[in-house]
Amino acid sequence: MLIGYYNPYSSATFLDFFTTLLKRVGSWITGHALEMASDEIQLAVLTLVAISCALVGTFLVLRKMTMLANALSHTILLGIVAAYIILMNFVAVENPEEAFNVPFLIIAALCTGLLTTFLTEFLSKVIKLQEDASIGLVFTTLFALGVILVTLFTRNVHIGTEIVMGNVDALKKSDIQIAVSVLLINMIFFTLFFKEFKISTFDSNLSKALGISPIFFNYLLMVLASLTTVGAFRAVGVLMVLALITGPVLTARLFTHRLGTLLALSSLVGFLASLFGVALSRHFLTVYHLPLSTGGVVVTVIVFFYLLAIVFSPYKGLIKRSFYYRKFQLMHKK
Amino acid sequence: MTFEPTSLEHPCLKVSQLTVNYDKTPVLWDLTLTIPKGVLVGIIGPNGAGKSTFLKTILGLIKPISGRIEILGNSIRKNKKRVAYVPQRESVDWDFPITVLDLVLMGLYGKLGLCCYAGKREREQALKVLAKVEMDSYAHRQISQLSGGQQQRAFLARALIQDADVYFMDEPFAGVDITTSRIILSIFHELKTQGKTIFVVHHDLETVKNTFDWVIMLNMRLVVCGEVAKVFTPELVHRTFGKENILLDEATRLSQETFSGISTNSHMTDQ
Amino acid sequence: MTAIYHYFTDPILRAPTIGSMLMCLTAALVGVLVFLRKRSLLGETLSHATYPGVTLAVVIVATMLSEEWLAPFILVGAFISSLLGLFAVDALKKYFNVRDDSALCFVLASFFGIGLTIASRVQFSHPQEYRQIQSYLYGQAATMTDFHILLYGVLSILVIAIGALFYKEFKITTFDANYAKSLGIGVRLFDSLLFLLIVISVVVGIKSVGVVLMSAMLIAPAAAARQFSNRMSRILLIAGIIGMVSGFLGNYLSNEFSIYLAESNRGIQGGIRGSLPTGPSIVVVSGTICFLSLLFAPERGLIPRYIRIAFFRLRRLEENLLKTVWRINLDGEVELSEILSSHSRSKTSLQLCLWKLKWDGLVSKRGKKVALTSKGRKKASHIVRLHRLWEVYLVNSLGLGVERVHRNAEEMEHIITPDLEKKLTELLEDPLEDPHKQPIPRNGGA
Repeated sequence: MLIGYYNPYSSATFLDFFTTLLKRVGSWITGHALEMASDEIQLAVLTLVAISCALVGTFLVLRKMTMLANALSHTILLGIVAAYIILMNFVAVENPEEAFNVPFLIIAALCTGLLTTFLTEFLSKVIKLQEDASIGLVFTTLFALGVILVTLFTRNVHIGTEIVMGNVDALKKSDIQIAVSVLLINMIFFTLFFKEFKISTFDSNLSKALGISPIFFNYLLMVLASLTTVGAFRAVGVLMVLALITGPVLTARLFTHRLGTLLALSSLVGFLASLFGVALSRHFLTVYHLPLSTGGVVVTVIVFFYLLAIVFSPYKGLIKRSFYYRKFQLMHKK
Repeated sequence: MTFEPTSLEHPCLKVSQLTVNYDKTPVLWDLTLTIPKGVLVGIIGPNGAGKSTFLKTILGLIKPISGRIEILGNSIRKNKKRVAYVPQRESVDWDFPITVLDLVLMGLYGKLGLCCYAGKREREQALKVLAKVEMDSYAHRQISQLSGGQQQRAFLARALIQDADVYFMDEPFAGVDITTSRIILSIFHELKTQGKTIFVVHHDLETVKNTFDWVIMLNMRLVVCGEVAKVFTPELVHRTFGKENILLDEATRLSQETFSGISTNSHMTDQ
Repeated sequence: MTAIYHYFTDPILRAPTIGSMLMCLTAALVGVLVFLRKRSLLGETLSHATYPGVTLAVVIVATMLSEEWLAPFILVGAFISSLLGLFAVDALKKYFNVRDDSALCFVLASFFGIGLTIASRVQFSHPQEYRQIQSYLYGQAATMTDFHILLYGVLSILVIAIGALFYKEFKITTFDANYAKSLGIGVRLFDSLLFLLIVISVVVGIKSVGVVLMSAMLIAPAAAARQFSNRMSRILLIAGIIGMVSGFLGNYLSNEFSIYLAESNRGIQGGIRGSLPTGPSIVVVSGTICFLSLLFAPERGLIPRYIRIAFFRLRRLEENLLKTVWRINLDGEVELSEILSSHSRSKTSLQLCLWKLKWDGLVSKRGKKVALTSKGRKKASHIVRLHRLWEVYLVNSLGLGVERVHRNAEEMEHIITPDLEKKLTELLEDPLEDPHKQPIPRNGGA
């Protein structure tokens, strides 16, 4: 039994990462018991989270609800902090860190999700404030409140930054379970209700006329988005969830016209971005001794993928649009 | 054109004293009308007269304050499968990632159960209706690549696949080309010979006489409802569109403001 | 407790206070224009987009230059970065068919993520600089110096000057861009100028409220001010004041609270360990002011609206009661029980109403009998006039059936304004009888 920490990926470069990974996966498949390395835990969580975000993100983007998702990811801080404070001060537990467990988190997530939606609707429908200001007002004020509570009640000054960028290095195996459950829930709902989500997103009037309630599916989507955001919170923090929700979808949109393909392709983009992100992060640590934030690297990779997609897209890509290409086409039309 | 409508004993649509409110103010008042089966009905009125509201209320999308609606002798909830709806084109984002075929298949989502998928049989059905509107070669095209007229035809195909008995369409002729107009009209005729009833919110007064059998003229209240030949007179058109309606508009606006608690500029003087 | 004027004179307190107030003023003014264009969420994206510029500037200064280059570099870095973000949003929407909300969110998240990546590069190698970078997340007003006051003062004046200079153009391009274009006003130019002003305010603001919360200062004061006026000049003034008050109170509260915690031991007992951060405090103050404005502003607030509706209902009941008495016995007395039987309301509400009518001098009460005063008679006949006028309009001009008009007239008689009454009288040529052949009371008569 090894005492002390052994990471098979330390001193791996980018390519080494993949060869090591494949070797370990291979030997795991053939039955050898392996202890998961931290890199692999990160990889597992990040990829699972990325796929969940891509699925939810597809519909959020198509329904033009991304700002609401942004709002959600901010107000979730307040929910988590409130839950934490209640836990610390009003519930007698031995080790609060341990007690900060999944059911509690889920309740915090759902409560803030509902609170956000309710307040935004109240402002825009009852008070008749314009929609953009309603969303902006709600989430900035609630988030500021959350930051104040965090600073007041915890001595941990890093919570502020961890909230925003996550702490990939602190991921444990239990986080994989959370990520898997969130992904399963998303996949179940989106498969079961694919048609309903499709029609209520595209044509809410017809949807209602056919008996498929757009409002119900709106709320369902928000619930799924809240769950996904909370599930991703530990890994990538609140703001980078947004990158995982929007980036892969926008990238995939440049390559396909079909909803099903869009879902699959954006999941793939998210998956690849996480994979490359973790590998690159390791590479930078090994070769340049730079401990970059893995979450940040993943976001950067997503941006890079999008830029690639812009250039190579068969529909609107820069290549297709460029002057030289058109000339080329003209020449060969004869 | 000749047609033989069924008697008004078994009407297609029967509306009694329908009132729809917005901000505690009636925007559709006390509508009472009866439409027989097998006719092509035009719904006419100025902008903001409540034509789309009327359509949506009949379809059950808006709840009225009072009144009764009967379609084919039953409430809309019971008869959802016999009714097809074509909304306005602008109500939809045409950049959505679906093909024309996908769009048409959506018409079947009401019939397909919660977790069922559209299979081969449904696809063949879809291709058939697309052929009817002369769009079968576009089946696999992304909907953002369609012209306005093609979009309208795709919408029409989606309604046709539902094989309904009553069709409700919101401004299908708005901004379409001649080919599309021709196709829409020929589909209307075909549906009529099958005994179906079609309601069309229409904006172009010039074409009412040549297109419709019956007409409903609305301006927040029912001005008249009847056969085009009998009721589409200059006097009644004037009553629907004329400037006497301006005061009604102003009064409606005042009412909505009062019930929203917004202070009106002038107030009742105390005597 | 520190005296308020200390906040403007004390060398430690004055920089954060005045600096924050200036920044909030600028943001509030620019925010009004953004709010009126319904693009409030642009501020959110632009503020997050400053982050890579900030981090890069700090990294460059830390690794290659010396300390005093820090402030200007950060400013320039934030500015360029935010501008790039603006261009990115624009390009995404124009060339790649991305919708507004997705473009804003994607640029927001990507720029911010890249910024965080750059920041992490110095997390362990240059901890002091890293702390600097992190301070820009939620702001750190406390480290502002007099230099900042000067800098922000100049930028604020610049923004205000440009706004004042081109006030007319901003107004018209916000309200009706197409019309402005037809007048020959360069809409694109002023749009770009406005975006430039937004970027400047954002860059100025991130020091005190931070990147994450900056957009609040563009939204809350503007939304609050909108509740108090319909005139743009007044809205700008009120927004500016609200902004400055928020800036001051945020600093004041966080400072006083920290002193309070330090002096008493309450804090530790309640589980409080840290202090109240300034940036978020400013945001919470402005958010609260905004919520209160939305609820209570005299014209447009929610509560005044509900009160107005309640008063309308009361007036309606009063007028109905007057009408009832008028109908039963316009000159003499009417039994209380007769009135009660023709209204389906509770006895107490009717009693209350009658009491108010007596108070207004519209009825006189003697035991269980009620009579109209001459003032009351006038009013009642006026209501009846409106009712019958409206019925004439419905039947004669709109062609409704006679049997159907009464119910609507019952509603409208309380709503028709004198102006509308005049128009009706003109249109209908002062009719003498209503569709039910009842006489229509003359205007001003009994």
